[in-house]
Amino acid sequence: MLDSFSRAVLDADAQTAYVEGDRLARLRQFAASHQQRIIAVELIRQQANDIIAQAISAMVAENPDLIQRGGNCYPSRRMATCIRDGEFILRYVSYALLAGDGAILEQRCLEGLKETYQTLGVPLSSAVAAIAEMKQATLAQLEVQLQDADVSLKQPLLAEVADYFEIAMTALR
Amino acid sequence: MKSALTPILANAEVAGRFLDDADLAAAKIPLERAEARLEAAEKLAMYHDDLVQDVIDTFLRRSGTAAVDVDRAIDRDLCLIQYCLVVGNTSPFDEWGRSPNRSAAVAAVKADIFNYIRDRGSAGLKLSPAAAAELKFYLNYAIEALK
Repeated sequence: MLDSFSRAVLDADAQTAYVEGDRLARLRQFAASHQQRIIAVELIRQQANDIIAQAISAMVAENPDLIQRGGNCYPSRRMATCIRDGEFILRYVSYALLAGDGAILEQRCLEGLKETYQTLGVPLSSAVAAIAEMKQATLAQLEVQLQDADVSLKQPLLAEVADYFEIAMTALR
Repeated sequence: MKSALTPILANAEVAGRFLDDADLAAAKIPLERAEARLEAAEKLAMYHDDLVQDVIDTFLRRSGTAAVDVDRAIDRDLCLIQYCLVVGNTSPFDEWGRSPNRSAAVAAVKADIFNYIRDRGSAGLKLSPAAAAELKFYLNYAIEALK
């Protein structure tokens, strides 16, 4: 598990080189936007329940069979599992965001998740749809929360958040 | 070579919870100082060759020390100091900077060289006061470690 500072040093050391160029520029951007980043991580925690509930409802609305007998979110015990998994992914997205690096999300949350879902018969397309909803809901809330922030800090941060959700969707496709 | 963010993330992950206010307050401190540290790291990355050359031309000539491979060793140690500046702690120097086959004589010369670099006022790198303070902190650490 690495953050962007540690990863930059490890990569540079592998080449016995200084941390420089683009790498250093990205770290400086990371440092410059730390206030907005912390606000974003905080918001994800505070809004987690809403973001997840909204995503699961949208997913069910799209595919009502999920909550019928035999559906994957039926009975409520399985719905609870589904909500828990949504929280799981959102939580790791927030870790990746503080780290400024997707490795923690990929290695500790997504690795093997697709195979697990396939074994359990979880419909992957629904899982991906739920993550897409979480992405939209999170970005919409962040847009409001960071409305006063400098665009040069806000836009890259929103793009980074979007990236982490994309990584999660890609892992399940 | 792990930054202060890693244990914060690890603790939250083990507890299975979102990052709470205490985590974010703890993360804020190293992040706030990161801008100064990275400024020093950037200047070191740009000017390390000049810095080493100056050590050879000025300091080593003055002290009459034989400069066999000292330039490369000094550059490597400066590189480790840059890693410290990037991650925000001394772990890169601790992990790689203390080679068991380093002789006491070479270590003493290196300590003197770092003293020279430190006392040149931001090492001639035109750093902001905050960045200069960060660089000085790690140079001092290296000097102490080499004693």
